[in-house]
Amino acid sequence: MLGHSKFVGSAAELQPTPPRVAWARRVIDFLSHDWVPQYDRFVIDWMKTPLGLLVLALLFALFCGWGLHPHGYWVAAALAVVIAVGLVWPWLALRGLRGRLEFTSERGREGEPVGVRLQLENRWPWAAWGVGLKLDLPHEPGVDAAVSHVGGWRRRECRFDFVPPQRGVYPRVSTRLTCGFPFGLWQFSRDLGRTEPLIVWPRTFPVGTLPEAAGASHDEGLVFRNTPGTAGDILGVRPFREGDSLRWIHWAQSARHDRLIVCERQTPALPVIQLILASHASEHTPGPQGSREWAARVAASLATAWLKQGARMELAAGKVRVVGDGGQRQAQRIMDALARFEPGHDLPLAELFEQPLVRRFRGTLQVLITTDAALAAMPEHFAAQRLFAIVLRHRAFGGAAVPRFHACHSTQWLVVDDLSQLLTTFRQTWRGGGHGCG
Amino acid sequence: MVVASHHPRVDLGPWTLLLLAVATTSVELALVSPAAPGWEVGEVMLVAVVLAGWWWRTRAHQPDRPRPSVRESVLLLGLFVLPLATGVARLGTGAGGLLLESILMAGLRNLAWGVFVTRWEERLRLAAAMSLMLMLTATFVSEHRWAPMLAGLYVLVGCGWLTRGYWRELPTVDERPRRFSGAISLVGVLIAAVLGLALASDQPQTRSLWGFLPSSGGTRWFDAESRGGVNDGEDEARGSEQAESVGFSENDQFIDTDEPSLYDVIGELFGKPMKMREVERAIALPQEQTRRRDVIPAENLRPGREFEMRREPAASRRPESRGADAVLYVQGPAPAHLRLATYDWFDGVAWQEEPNTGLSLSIKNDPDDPWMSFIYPLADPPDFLMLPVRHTIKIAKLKGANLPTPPLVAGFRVGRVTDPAFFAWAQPGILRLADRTIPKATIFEVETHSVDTERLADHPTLGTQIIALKNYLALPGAAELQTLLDQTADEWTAGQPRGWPQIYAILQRLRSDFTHEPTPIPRGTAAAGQGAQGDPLVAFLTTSRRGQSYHFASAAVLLWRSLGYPARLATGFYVNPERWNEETGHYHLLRDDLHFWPELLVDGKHWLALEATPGFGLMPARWPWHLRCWHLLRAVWHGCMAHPGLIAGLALSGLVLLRLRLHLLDLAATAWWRWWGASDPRTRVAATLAVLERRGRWSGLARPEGYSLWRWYGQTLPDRCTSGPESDPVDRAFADLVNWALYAPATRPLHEPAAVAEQVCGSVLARWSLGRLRRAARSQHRNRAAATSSPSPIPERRL
Repeated sequence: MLGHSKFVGSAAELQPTPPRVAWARRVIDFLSHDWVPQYDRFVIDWMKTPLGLLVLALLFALFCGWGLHPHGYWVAAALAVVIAVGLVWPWLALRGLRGRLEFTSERGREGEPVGVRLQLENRWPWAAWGVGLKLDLPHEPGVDAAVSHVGGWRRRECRFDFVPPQRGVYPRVSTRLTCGFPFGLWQFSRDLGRTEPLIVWPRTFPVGTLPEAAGASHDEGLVFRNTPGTAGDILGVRPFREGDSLRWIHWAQSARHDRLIVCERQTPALPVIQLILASHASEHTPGPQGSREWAARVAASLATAWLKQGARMELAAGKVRVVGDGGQRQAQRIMDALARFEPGHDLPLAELFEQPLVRRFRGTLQVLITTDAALAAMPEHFAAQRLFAIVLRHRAFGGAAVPRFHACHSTQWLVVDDLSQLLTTFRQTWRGGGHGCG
Repeated sequence: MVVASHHPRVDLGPWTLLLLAVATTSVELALVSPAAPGWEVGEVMLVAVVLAGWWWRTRAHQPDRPRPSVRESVLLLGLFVLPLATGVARLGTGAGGLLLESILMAGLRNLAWGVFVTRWEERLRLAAAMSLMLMLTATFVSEHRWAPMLAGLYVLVGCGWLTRGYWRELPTVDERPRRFSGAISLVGVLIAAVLGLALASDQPQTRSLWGFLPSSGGTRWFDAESRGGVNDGEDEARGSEQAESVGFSENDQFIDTDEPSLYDVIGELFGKPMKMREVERAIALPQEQTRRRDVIPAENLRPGREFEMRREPAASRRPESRGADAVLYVQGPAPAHLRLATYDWFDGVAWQEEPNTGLSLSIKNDPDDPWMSFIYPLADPPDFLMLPVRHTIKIAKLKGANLPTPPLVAGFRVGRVTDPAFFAWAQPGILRLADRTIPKATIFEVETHSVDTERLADHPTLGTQIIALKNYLALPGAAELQTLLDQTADEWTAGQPRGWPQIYAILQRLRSDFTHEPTPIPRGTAAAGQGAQGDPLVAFLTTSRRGQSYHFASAAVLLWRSLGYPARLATGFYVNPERWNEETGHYHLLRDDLHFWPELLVDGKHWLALEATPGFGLMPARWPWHLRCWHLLRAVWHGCMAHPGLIAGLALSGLVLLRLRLHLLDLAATAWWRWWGASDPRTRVAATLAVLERRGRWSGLARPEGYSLWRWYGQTLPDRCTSGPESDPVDRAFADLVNWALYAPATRPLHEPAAVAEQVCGSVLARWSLGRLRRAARSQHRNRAAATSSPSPIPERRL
């Protein structure tokens, strides 16, 4: 019969009962646990593919034919025919195909579509079906696009949009045509030939205005600082001093105070900012959502935003350096450098600070983009004046937790603890200058 | 990565379903026994119902889990274990066990269907892989003629499945052509056709391919439970459904070998007749005996063949052979008796075979129909003859002209022979081919009347003296034996009226007081008595009281004759129910099934086979439907009278169940509700509401029309049930849940967690039990009755 529950109060006050099937789940977990995953590729993984299963069935049929019933040989023959057709057909179809791939633009941005034009020519008299296109994308094991049909002795052109999943230069290695039709037992492939590369810039996000710490040591720039000067917005009023322009006399205040009062204005400045991207593989987590890619995105966002605001930007990313300059050309140079930045170009953080471009920097602000893992490996006496560090927590990007990195008193910090709060973090804490040591 | 593919993801479900259907059909052909398909069919039906219910319940769930849920895992485990439980149940009920591979195949079949029905990511691929293994196993196990065709069909569907699976993973950017389906189908058809032709064709070209396949060539290994052998194994295994399909085409049966005749089989089974030592001492005989011995039987009474009752065991039996041992293959009801020869004259030691009548058949025959029906002697059947039954007999290893004919034959057919001149009577009641021996592998279909022994007992003419051929009433001339027969018959039938009671008393005495020995007892043993050298029948009746079937049959015939009932001895084959071969669906009658039985002449024209040997029986009567009903009712009545306590207990239990039927139904419905918990809260609330509504209808507190659910379950119903708390938050919470489930848009989520809603539903069901609602309804009814019977407190208004 039904049991009487201890229901007291409203429905919202009730607490969920513990799951009754927890023990069963534990039993099933125990029974389905993979105790030797290191041997899966020898035992299980190949059986999960159609070809592996058919080969297994073929061996089974041969065994049964040998010891149980001659029907086994016929079944084995049928399976062998299926396997042979599944392997020979795509191999043959691919021998007759050649083609050309073109991107409709030279540059793109990760996550944004880029037009692609694929031209295929079939030299066989029979049609080719299910032709795939593989761009050697990282972390994308399958086919990236496919053309369903190319007629015999025909040429075919297809246009489609390609959404690059990650910054870089595409194709990475080569573009390949693949075919597994009709049964998909094995994907045969062949090189499509040389393709004009597509440079994919990192994704950017809004980072706000230049920080106060960027300074204003120069007076010819387009950036206005809140120090008394002769340009920009009005900061306040003060008594007239000798040499002040009469155009800036505040007549109303002058009449009230019975002496000349002038408007105090901002000072034009030209911040020179150096972005130091610490991107050594041992200091970052990999993958499209890893800290290495996000460090590049932060650097791209800062460079794009601040160049638009009139600053001069430099980039020091491992062995890649972009000397200081301003304007759109500099933005393109920095973005191209970030797009081409490969794991082989990087240096450990300690060595990065020894690079001449970094050591001899005379500008107003250095922005270090790194991880807590990289900082933890730095010596304790490390300190740099005018260094603003953006620290990506290792654990926030799928890595292991890192013990506290060394304290230092002359640097400002911005620590990204949560990837989902990245935009908020930049928007809210940027101009304040950070948290101090992590 | 491409922005958009032109085609939605291909659904592999229908193709996987097809694969499973073909594989399962093949498995069923291998598993289902044609003789007793009930268990297998029942199990399949049970699995189908469970899976259909499961699918219906989870049809809205998205297959997005990486592995089965706990309930699905339990379901899969149960489905896999079910055939094992069925096998145990079969053993327990005496229906016969199953081979281990059959159990495993059935378990794998259930598991594959279970995986297909459950809702998780990789289910379709796993189900397809299982179907492949099922198909492979079934192809090797099954000998059904459809198995190769199903294998070809599976290849065809499998090619389609693989192609669909390939397209499923392709992010195509253009319109998919339609012609590729035809190309793939062509490939599949070609492969399937090659496979099917190679396996199923009977053309010499394809048959010769088998020559290239190695076979065991005879490994001296043999398993009685094996299903098919290795293509050169037992011949019986070649036939599966009909007697005609038992194959002799590829063995040495067609090589002219020395087939045994009836007397070869008799000699092999019961031993050779003993050669009497010649005694040349002259003795004086009494005069009366001398006269009797001067009576020389007529020529037609000495057919030249006789059955000697004095026999010694065969020195050696045939060596073990893997060849087909069956003499006859029979389909039809069992037990049954198939006559091959009858004997009428007995001289004390040997039975003389009845002479050939030489009579032609009096049959009703259509020139276009090979079926021949007798006009005589069954034109006016007596009332103890029931509906006819049909036997199909294939003669495998028996030489002779006589067809194994069951008693009371009504019609027959041999192949497509339409000319009655091909047949004749050998002896009364035994058909034979005229002037020729029976070709090997002849199929003989015969229809005979079954006998209801109870009606036979009431047959009026059974006890009357009839005039019959004196051979059927003749007794052996030896005075000692004759005296013994008379005394024994009188003793055994003392006090019994004439007719069936006397006949039955003799049969019953033989079946109860004597022991049957399948083969002759060696001489010199105590059990052999003096029958070896002396009179075998005297020894059987007096000292040894054990013997072979011919002893029992001879004793019965002679005892009946001594009482004046015409009888004869018959021999042939006994269709033993234990000879049923489940794989082929036939009774395989071996040489050991040779048997003797007594036959009684009724009304001067019907030879009825009766059974005097313990352990043997008669063919059951095939009653018409009204008699079946009558016998069923009578059996039920006798059963009730035999177990009054049990019947009373069952009746009481039935009354209690009837009284508590609504509570039991509600209990089952609530248990179902608890077990089949839907993951969707909306569905869960609706199911709870259905249970409550049903309880309301059963208790008489159904929600009236015009009442909203909120008003009824939130306000009115608690108010009417005064025994409970006046206001309970559970009711309000449930009423809110009902409002949300029924009227809120599908996009609006539930405020509370799903577990809270689940607990509210459970609490409502516990609170508004059927018993409480019924009490409330009764209380309301009483209050209403009291209100109508009491005087109104309002005074009548004066006009």
